[in-house]
Amino acid sequence: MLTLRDSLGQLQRTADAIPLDPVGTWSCVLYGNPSLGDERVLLSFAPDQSTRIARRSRDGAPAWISLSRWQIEGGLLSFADARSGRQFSADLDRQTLGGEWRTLNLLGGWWCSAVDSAEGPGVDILNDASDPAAAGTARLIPEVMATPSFPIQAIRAAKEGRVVLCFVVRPSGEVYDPEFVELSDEIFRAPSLDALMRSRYKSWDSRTAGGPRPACRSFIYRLDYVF
Amino acid sequence: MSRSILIGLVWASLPVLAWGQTDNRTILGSGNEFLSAGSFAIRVGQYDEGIRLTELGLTRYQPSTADRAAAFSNLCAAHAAKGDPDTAIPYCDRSLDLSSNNWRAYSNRSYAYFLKGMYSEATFDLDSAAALNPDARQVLQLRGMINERGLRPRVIMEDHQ
Repeated sequence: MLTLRDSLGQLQRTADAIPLDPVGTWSCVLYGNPSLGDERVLLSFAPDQSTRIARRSRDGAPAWISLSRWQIEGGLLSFADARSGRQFSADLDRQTLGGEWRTLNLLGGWWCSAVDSAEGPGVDILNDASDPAAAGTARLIPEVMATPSFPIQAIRAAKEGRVVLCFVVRPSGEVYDPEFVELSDEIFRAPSLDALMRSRYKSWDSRTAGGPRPACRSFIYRLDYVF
Repeated sequence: MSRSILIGLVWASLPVLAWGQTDNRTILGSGNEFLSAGSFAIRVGQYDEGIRLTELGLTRYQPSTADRAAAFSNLCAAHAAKGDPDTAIPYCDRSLDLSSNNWRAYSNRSYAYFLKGMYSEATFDLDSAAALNPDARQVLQLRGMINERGLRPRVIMEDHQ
């Protein structure tokens, strides 16, 4: 489920056999939990295979929590959050870190962008920030949300569908590195990607509010009878 | 597009019975040549001529029940192709009264209802046609036409961040 550009990158990556290195700190969005909604977190994968997650608490102080150890098998990164019962997995053949999480009866996704942090697992980032925006956890503000056109062939075939695209937003507000994490039918690929790439977010100052941020967008294609 | 659908719906509606017959007897039901000629005329788009020949075959001779059902289905198709669904529908009704397993008659009537904007009725008849012949090209094509008119698309967008 890749764009042409990502497909070329995938081919190149396959040819070079260099999977993504998860070690480091990542600014991530978790989505798909019906009770929690979308969550912005920091994930840290240390060289000793320890994993930590940080959320901004109500009083603004950072809160790092240990998760299970991360492991890689067959190009797939996995770790778990015992408190929420979520099992996380990520295909390291992608150009950025992201994948799906599962519980016994829920399924969601997560998408990350790398955070520059020269010291430790991101402690400085959260400790330094009294303003949520400075930690890169402020919400992205859509400036242009382009609506995809419903393919006429899909209407004729009475075909409905769902697409989830994850991407990174630059401080300029531009969308780049889109990747399909869910695509119910190929017919919805082009209009979804076209709409996303015509969209943009409100820009921010990277010096105060951090660098690129991950985000995902769902497109749900529905048909209603008029008779 | 409508003609291409109807060509398929008229084709082979009638069995070729009288061609090559050498017997000189007067045969009841020998008006099939008019029905066959009418079927051909409708297929090539000569709707008025096709209607005339088909009605000749129905009124002057005594075709079999099967031929009558096919002829009424063809008249339905021809009138629908002329953009006269109100005249077409009763012919399809009569065809289906004679033979209820004729998928073409259901499909012709579905098209007539489609022309009238009666998409619910059109869908009902098309479902009947599809039950008898699900792979018919005309059924699939008409399904797409009905869906294009009868379905309103919407896209729900949600950001996750």
